[in-house]
Amino acid sequence: MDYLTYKHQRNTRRQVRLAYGKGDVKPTLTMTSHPGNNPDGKPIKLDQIGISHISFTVADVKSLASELVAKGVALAGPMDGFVNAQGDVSSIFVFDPDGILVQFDSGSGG
Amino acid sequence: MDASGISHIAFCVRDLDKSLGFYRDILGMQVVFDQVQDTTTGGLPHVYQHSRKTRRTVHLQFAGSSTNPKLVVTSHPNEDPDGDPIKLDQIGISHYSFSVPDTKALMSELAGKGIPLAAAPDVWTGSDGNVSSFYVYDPDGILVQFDGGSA
Repeated sequence: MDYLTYKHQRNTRRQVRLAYGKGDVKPTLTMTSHPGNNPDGKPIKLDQIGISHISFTVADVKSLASELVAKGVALAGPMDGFVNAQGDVSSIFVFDPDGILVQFDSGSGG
Repeated sequence: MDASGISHIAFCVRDLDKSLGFYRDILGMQVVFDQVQDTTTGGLPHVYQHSRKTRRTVHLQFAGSSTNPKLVVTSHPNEDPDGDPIKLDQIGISHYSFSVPDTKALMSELAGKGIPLAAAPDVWTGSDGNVSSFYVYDPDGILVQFDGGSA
């Protein structure tokens, strides 16, 4: 059971809560880090047991991809690698600064 | 960037039917999508650790919460699973949390149904007798939190 919901003994954590919009918007993204402690673990891919990613719905996936690439964000694969069976790009994946996968979709799910 | 919100939170499981026994039958989520999909297009090979032939994908939602993100659950039938869920202090996405009206009653209910709590009930119970949040393990050992809405 380690330390209940923790793998290691940690004394403090910094917690940041993010949301779109103002007021009581759910869900929030809660990010934590453990200042002064060694980090452990690495993010997973979609076919590994656990929570692999979250996805944001955006109006225009392709233009967002270009915008993110221009800002130095790493796509998880080449742009043409995200073409679906219908010949469209309806979702892309990028890596966050820790290598956690983040998806952007056009609202059609998946 | 303008986003209209979080559309889904995705996780992979060993046995989808076992997971449905928890998320659908015990937590009461509704299955709004259940399909076996091709995994060779749409960029999936770039975000997979292993080469997989197909995946079963189930979308779950609470009734009347169509604006909330779906839970997207996948498994890879007849292929070997890989990996283990993480704890809160490991890099990655450790858990999600559901807001419920009565955390204390739900904790008793889930424990009564044999769902493993991540720690004994008294660990989650404050000196005032209230439970502001608690964690359980899903069938794959993925941490699931329940909060009273303030967490």
